[in-house]
Amino acid sequence: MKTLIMKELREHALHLGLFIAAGVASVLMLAWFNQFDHETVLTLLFLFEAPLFTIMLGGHLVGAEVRTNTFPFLAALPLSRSAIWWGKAVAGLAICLTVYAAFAGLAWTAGIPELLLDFGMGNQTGGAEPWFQLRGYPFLTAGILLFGLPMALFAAAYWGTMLPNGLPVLETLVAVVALWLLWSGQALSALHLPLALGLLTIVFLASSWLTFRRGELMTGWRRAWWAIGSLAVGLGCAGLLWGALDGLADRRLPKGEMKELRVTDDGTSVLCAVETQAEWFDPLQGMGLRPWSTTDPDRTAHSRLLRLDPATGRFHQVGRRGLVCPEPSPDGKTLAAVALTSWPGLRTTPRLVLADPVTGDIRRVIDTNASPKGFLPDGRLLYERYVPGGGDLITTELCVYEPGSGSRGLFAIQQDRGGGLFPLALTCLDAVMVYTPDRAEPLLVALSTGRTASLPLPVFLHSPYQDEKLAILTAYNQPFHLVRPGAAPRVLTGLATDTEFLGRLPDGRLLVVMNATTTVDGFDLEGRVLGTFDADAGTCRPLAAFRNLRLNAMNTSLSGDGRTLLASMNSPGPGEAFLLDLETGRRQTVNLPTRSIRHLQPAGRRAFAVSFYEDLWRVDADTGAATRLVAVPSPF
Amino acid sequence: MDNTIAFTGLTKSFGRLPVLRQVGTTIGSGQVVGLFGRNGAGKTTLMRILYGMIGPDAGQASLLGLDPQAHPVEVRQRVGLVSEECHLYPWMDANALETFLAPLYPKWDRELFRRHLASMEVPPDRRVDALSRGTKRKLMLSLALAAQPEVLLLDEPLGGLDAVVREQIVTTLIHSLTDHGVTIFLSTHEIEQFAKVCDRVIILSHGGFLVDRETAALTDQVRRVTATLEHPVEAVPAHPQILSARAHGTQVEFVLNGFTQETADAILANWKVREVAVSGLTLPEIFIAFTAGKEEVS
Repeated sequence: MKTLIMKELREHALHLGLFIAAGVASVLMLAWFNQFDHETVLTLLFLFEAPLFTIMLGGHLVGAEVRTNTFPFLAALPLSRSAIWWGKAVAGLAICLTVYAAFAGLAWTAGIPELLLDFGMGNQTGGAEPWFQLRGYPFLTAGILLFGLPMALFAAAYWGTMLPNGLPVLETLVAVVALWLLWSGQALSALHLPLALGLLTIVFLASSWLTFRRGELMTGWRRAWWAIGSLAVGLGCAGLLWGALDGLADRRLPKGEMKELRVTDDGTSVLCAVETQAEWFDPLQGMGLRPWSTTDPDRTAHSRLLRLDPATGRFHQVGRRGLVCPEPSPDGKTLAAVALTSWPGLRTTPRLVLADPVTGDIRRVIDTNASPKGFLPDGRLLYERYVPGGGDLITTELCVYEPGSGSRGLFAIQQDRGGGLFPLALTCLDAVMVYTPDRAEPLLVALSTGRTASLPLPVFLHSPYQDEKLAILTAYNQPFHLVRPGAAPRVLTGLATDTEFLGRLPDGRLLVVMNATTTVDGFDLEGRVLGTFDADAGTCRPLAAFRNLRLNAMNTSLSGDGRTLLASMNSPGPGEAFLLDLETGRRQTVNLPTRSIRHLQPAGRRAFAVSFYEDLWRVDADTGAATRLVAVPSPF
Repeated sequence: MDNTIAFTGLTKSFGRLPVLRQVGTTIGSGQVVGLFGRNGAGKTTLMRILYGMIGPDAGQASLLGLDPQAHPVEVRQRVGLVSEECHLYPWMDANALETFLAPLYPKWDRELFRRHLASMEVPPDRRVDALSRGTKRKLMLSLALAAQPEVLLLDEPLGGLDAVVREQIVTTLIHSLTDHGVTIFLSTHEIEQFAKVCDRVIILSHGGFLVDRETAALTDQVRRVTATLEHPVEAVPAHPQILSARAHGTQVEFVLNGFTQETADAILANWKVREVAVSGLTLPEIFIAFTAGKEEVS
């Protein structure tokens, strides 16, 4: 085979020289026309000329021998068909490698700094992005550009050379598809490229090998049938393998980092958004050559949605990978989410869907390019829709979806590069508060009519507590504002900014954690105690029954029925959690892991969900039993 | 005598067109066997099957005890092929071809290659595309011989060669090779040229072997009978052993396959014969007698 490789190298030496000369000429032309910036040079060399040469060479290796009638001589030599096939393939790849190396050298000698020549394979000095990322090809990585893409193009062209000369239409079609894949960013980013290119390369090579072995003197039409038939079968098998691999990767849960936790109001469903790093799909990343990948349908990481089965205490994945931004409905029977992918792992336009919270089956597609902003207590869904308006202008529209009557827009704004309206639903007013960059105060949009009105409030407030009667609004370290139906918003100047609103007690009063001075052993001490909030006066008063209960540096949560309080030390020390029956004053110790609490919230009427950075626990409000629901180990 | 080349039941079709139908024979070591046939008879296809370049639809072949389909590399290292269908790389010269081919053949003889080039007046440093057709053929022959094959398959080896080189190849080269025990299986239209060196003759027509006989036996058994009759006749009556016949007035002439005096007398008994003459045929005449009027489909 070595002698065949040497023959091929000699035969194509002229072509190699011509192509390198073409590279030099194109660089000189760019310099002549003052277009000599590194992005243009590298794009021309590595995204146009080198792939074109790869296609031309791959299509020349066998086809030229058939055209010039030298193939019978080659076929009559004491070389097996496999040796000829491999010899030509190895020689072709070696020539391609030489072209890529020559182009890299050419770019370097032409003055491209080494940093900008970096294809992302090495260290990123100063966080510099590789040129092809800057150029607008976010789906490319160094491995794809320098290995995956040339291999796939070479394999496709090598396969094409097995066809009779009378099939220019088919060859043209293959070339057009290849070029379209190369240049269409949308098409490329829709696929998981390393996997797709790898499978395509294998299928094309296998089909060409089979055709070459069966093609005898490569003159009969039978080889065309072998080529096309085996390619069709190979693509079918690759598709099945794609689906199988994608499905396998899809079930690799729940290894990853928990990003978001959702507990339905009735406490029957716990949803957990997890992000898994993409090393499963990206061989380059697996080899440590690339710290991140931009070639997955889920882009930088694989987002999953997990649901806890309350019967077994085990998590199950909801739907396929790529279901993100979960918003469970108040009754826990519906899930609003954004579906990024469709089977088998192909990226589609992000769709806002209503799905089954258990199986993830999509029940209804509400909109595209939209993200949910939360359910209202009556089951309506608030979401934002993003519509490109030409250039960098993007229209952001606030919409509401009502089961039975569909979606309708409430308010829209067009901004450079888009941006959210930061909607905050105010249940007590049946309205949504939004922010626009041209206003110094928020707008109130009525949910029923879409009418707008200015609110005399600061911007970017959040709501530490709200229900159907009132809403407490604040911003970081800012005074609280009270919003109630039929009354103007009011600043609660008498309320300390670190007051925590926990929820309503069975008697209708609002329970808070507040600062108060208590007397301990004859000493007056400032501390955190339970109290109640008087909305009319805008002040809080300590609860006399628990005046000696100090909640300093504790996370607290009120159960859904307002009868039990869970409090835990927010420190790495031993478990300090306890349950407090607010009616009887009975106190019960709860054992939790000795790690910092990330989030504490009620789960239904008589339970709490406690999430740490790597796992999630459930605390029963009646028995005080703490159960670990799921462990989510960090990938790092 | 061992069977250096053996094949049996070889059948090959291209699409719906049958080219070979159940052909088979054996060729012993050191024999020179000529394969004759009209254009499109299937000679090149048979050569390609024997060399393992294409596979038969049915039947088996063996060269030097090896199946060329199962062991193509081993067969080709020991069997040389010179075919008009094989085109050398136009950008190579003889030196480059030798560099390319020598590692592929274990018995490659560089000196022998040089000697053949010199004797056939092939310039070693001139590109193939600058050589005449005859010189290319001589270069191909030199390449095949440099590998010192035990069997030589020649497919139209004299095409494009001048008379001197033809004579050189037929008389000197082939005798020299057979003296060294090389078995030669050649297909050609140059029947007269090769008549004197072929030990056996195979005539291929319509995918089947019409003749597979020793040359001497063939020329002995196929005779032309010329008779002068008392009365003119219209035609010669049909007879299974008559290959061709002609009647002109009182003159009749027919070629008899498997000639015996008794058979000739039995045919002549149809007429009142005044004079009879029996003569031998040359190999080309025998070939024409067997194949005339049988168009091949290619």
